[in-house]
Amino acid sequence: MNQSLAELFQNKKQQAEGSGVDWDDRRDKYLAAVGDLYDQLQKMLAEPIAQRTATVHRRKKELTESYLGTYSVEDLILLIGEEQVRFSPRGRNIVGTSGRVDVLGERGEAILIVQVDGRWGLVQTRLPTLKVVPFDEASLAELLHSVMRE
Amino acid sequence: MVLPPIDPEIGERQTLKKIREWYRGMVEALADQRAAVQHAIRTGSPVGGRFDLMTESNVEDYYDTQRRELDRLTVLNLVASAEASLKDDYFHRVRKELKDTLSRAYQNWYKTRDPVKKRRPNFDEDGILEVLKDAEVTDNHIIGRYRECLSLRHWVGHGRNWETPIQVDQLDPDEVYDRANALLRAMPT
Repeated sequence: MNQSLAELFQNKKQQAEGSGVDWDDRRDKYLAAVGDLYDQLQKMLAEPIAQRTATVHRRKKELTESYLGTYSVEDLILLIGEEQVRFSPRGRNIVGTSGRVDVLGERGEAILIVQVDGRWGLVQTRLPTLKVVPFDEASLAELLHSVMRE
Repeated sequence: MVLPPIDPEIGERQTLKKIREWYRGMVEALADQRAAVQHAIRTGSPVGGRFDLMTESNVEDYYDTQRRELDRLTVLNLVASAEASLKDDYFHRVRKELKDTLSRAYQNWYKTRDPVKKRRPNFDEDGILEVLKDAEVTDNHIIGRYRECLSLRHWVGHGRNWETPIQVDQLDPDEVYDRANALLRAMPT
């Protein structure tokens, strides 16, 4: 390899190592947060699941992000009656947050993000200002109403 | 019949060079902002609300769109700037009744126009460029290469409400600059 080209790659590698970011740790924390979200969701839905008015299953997929590489993650699919609502992780490398999961229903979409305190929040508005409320049973109901058919 | 003014101080004229300088500045600004947003993703630092919650691919798509728009609007500006210069030159030759071949061709053509077209002559087909080509005072290949840019200029300038011309993906601002500049430089004095 040409010496100048070799130096360029070496310098860039050193810069990346000097950035101090542990990308593996970031990816692992994001995957753990997604796992926490799904656990939280299943607890909230324990009653309808037990009553068989809702069912939940998971489907593997792959995400590819800069520095994090390609990794495996799961969509969570919630079936309520004849409708499907899919919780679909979008990635760790997101502007203004440390993780995002999109919620896709038959009428609309919503966004969940990891908040500064590590808990999940439901995005109510993005513009002109970002408004996020904690993800709990009340906001789950709000979310489902917004993404599902009437 | 009063001919339109040719005062270069009227309006907000832009030379091809000024447009190209503006374009290069905007390309740099977009690249800087893109890098700042990517840096914000890496470091978790805040950026403007417009970018909140964008994924990496959202950011890439956003800047690809911005760059495409910048290119299209710059091409419109470049082609329109050259058009204004060529029209100025046309009216100058008619008004001053210059004696060279092109000026005589313009003057003869001008006399055949109706009053409305005397003030607002066609530019491309059945217009100034056609007279310029027929006068054979400059390389017709250069005129032809500039004319190829006009479909792109019309498409952008008239609201893009018809099928995208193939030239859109073939002509970038640097290419259009070269073609427009070549024609202006090839005009007889």
